Amino acid sequence: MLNQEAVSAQSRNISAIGGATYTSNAYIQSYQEALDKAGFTA
Amino acid sequence: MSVHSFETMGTVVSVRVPDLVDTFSEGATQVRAIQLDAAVATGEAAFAKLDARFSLYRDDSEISRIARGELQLADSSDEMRKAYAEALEWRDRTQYTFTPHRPDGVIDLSGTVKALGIQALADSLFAAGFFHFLINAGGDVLAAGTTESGWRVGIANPKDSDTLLGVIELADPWHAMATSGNAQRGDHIWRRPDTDLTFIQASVVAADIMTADVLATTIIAGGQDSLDFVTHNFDVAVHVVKSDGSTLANAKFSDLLVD
Repeated sequence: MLNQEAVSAQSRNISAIGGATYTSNAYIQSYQEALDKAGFTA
Repeated sequence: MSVHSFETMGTVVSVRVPDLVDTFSEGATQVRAIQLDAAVATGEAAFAKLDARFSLYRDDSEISRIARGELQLADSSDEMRKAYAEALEWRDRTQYTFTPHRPDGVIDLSGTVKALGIQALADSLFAAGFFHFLINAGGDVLAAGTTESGWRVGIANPKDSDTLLGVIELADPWHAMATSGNAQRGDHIWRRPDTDLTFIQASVVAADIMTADVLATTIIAGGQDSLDFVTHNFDVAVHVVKSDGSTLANAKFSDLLVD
C-alpha cells in the first residue's frame, strides 16, 4: 500500500511525468513544456 | 541537460541527455552535439515510419489497407507480420486481456507501436554512443544510464492535476515506466464486458518499455483480476489509482519511490 500523501511537482528534481497524455491535459502539457524549456532540470 | 523534442503519433516525444562536455576539446563536444542531433533525427524518422505503416487514422497506411480488406495479412510486410505476432504473444501472456484486435475484429496495433518507436529511438541513441538519456513519449518513459540527480519520474494524479502521487527513480534494471488511464487520448483499450471499472490509472515499471506499456494497458482493461495476475506473474513494479482517488502499489513500486 502506498500512502495518500501527494507531493508537489515543483519541489522535486523531476525529469518527466508519467500518467497523462500531454495532448489531453493542459496542465501536464504546460508543465512538460516548462521542463523541456528549462533544459537544465535534471 | 540537452533536450530535443518532436511531435509524432499524436503526441510529443522528448529526449533528455546530460550535458555533453568533452574534457579534451570544445570541438569534440560540438561533434557529440551533432551526433546527438543525428541520432534523435534517426529515431524521429523511425517513429514516422511506424506511424505511416500502423496508424488506423491514416487511410493510406498498410494497416488501414488490411482493415479495409484490400491487403491480406499473409501478403503484408515483414514488419506488419512481426508486430502482429508480437502483439499476439502479449495477448497469450495476459490471458487474452491485452488484445491487438478491435471489437469489430480489425487488427489494431496501437497498443504496441508506440513502444516500438521508443525502443527504436533508444537503439538509435545507443548506436551513436549515448548511454545516458531519458525518453518521454506522451507520458511513457524510458531511461538509460543515469544523470546527476537520477532519472526521477513523477506519477500524475488523475484526480488533481496540481499534485503528483509520488516520484520514483528509474535506474537499472528498472528502465521503463508506462501509464494507462481510462481518460487518455488514443489508448484504444478494449475492455472485456465484465470488467470492473475500479482503476482509472495504472502505472507499470519494467525492464523494457514494451512490457511496461502492455501490462499497464492490461490492468486498465482487466481491472482487479488483471492487477493480481500481472503482479503475480511478471517482475514489475505497479501503481494504480482507483476511481475514488485512493491508490495501491506493490512492494517493488514502493521500493522505487524517492524519499
